[in-house]
Amino acid sequence: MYELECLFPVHLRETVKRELNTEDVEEIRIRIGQPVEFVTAAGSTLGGTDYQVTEKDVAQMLSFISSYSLYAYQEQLRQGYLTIQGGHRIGVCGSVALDDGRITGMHHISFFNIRIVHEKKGCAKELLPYIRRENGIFNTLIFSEPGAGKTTVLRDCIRLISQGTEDVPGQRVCVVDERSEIAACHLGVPQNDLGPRTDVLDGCPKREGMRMLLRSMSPQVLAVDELGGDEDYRMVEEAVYSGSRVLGTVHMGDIRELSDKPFLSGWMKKKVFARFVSITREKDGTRCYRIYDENRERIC
Amino acid sequence: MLKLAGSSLIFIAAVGIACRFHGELELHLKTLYGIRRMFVELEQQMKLTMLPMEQLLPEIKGDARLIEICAQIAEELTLHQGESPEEIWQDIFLKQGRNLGIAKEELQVVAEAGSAFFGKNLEENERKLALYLEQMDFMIGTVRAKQKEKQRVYQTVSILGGMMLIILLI
Repeated sequence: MYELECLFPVHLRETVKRELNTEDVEEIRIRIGQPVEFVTAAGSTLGGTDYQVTEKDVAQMLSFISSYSLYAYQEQLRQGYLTIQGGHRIGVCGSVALDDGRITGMHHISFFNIRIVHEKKGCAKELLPYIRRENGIFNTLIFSEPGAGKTTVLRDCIRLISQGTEDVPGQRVCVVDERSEIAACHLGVPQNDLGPRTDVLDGCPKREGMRMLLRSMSPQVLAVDELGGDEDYRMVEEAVYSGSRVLGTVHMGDIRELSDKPFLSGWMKKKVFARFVSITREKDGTRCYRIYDENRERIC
Repeated sequence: MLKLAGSSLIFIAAVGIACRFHGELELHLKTLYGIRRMFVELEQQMKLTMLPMEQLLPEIKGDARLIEICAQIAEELTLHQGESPEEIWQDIFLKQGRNLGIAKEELQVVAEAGSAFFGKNLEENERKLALYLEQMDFMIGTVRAKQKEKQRVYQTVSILGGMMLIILLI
C-alpha cells in the first residue's frame, strides 16, 4: 500500500498508513474543507482526526497522483478518473471545462475518491461451473450496482479461465483494459494475476481494442469491463459472431433492467448472452451472487 | 643537450595546453548540443508515450553526466516529498550542473527549463520549451561564433608563451 500512502501530503501519511493497516479500506474520499473519509465494508470513518483537507493538500495530491505530469493524464482527467500504479482508480471532481458542449478538461479539482483495488483470488471459483461449457465458456455478463465488485469478479474469472483446471484446459483470454483496472498494467506489465494464457491491451478504448484483438490475437475469450456505449454493444456482437466468447460487465442493479436497456433487450431476444451473474452487496459487506440463464431463469 | 631537452619539453607542454583549451571549447559546445538534444528528446517522448517525467527521465541517452542528472531528478520525483518538480529540477541542475563545464548563465537557463516539462498540458509544455530552445540556440550560436576566435587566441598564446619561456631560459 506504499503507493497509496505516497499520494498524500507528508503530514497525512501517518493517518492514512494507520487506517490502511488496521481496516479493510475500500475507498478513501478527499474533500476540501472536510476530514479524510475512509470507507470500509462496514461503513465509513473520518480517520480519527479533526484535520480538514486544504486546497494546498489537494493541489499537492494532484501533483503526486499525476507524478508531477498532468499532461500524461489529460485524457483520463477528461473522463473523470485516473488509474495509478497498482491499479487503484482515483475519481476526480471539480469544475468541468466545456467547448461546444464537449468536456475538454477539468480544473479546480477539489474532490478525490481513491478506490483501492482488491485482488481477491478465488472469489469467482464457485461461479465457474455455471459459466463453463464443453468447449469453453458461455457468453457471460456480470452486472451489479457500482462498487459491488464486478471488476474483482471479472478479474478472477479471467484468471481461472486462463489457468484452467486438471479437467478443463486453460483458454486464451484477451482483455481490453480501457481503464487499466483489470490487469493494472504498469509500464506494460500486469500487476494483477490474470493467468498464464492472458493477453492484455491496456488503455485502449473498448471498441477499437476488441476489433484489434479479434484481428490480431485470435482470442478464445474476450474480456471487457463496463460495457456502455452503443459501439461497445455492436463490437460485442461482432466478437460473438466471429467465434470468440465474451465475458463482460455492465452497470445494472437488477436482472429486470435488462429489458430497459435497448441493446441488452435486443441481446435477450437474440440470446447473445447465455449467462448473467448478478452481484449484490449485503449490509455486512459480503457479496451475494445470483446466476441466470438466457431465459432469465435463476440457476443458482 | 640539456637545454635542447628542456626546450623540447616546454614546447610539448605548450602544445598540450593549446590542445586542452581546444578540447574544452569543443566539449562546451558538445555539452550545449547534448542538453538541447535532451530537451527535444524529452518533448518527443512526452508526446509519443504520454508517460510521466519520472519514467521518461531515466530513459534519456547520450552524455553520461546528463544521464546521471536525469536519473537523480527522476529519483527525487518518485519520493513525493512535497517540493515542486520545477524546484527539484532546478536544485539538481544547479548542484550537479557545475560538472557540465558550461557557463553560469547557460546553467541558469538549463536549470529554469524544468518548468517546460511539468505543465498542465502538452501545449503549455510545448510553448514553454520553445522559449528555452530559442535561448539554447542563441547560446549555441554565440559559443560557435566565438569558438574559432578563442581557439586561435588560446593556441597562439600557449605556443608563444612556451617559446618565450624557452628563449628566457636559454
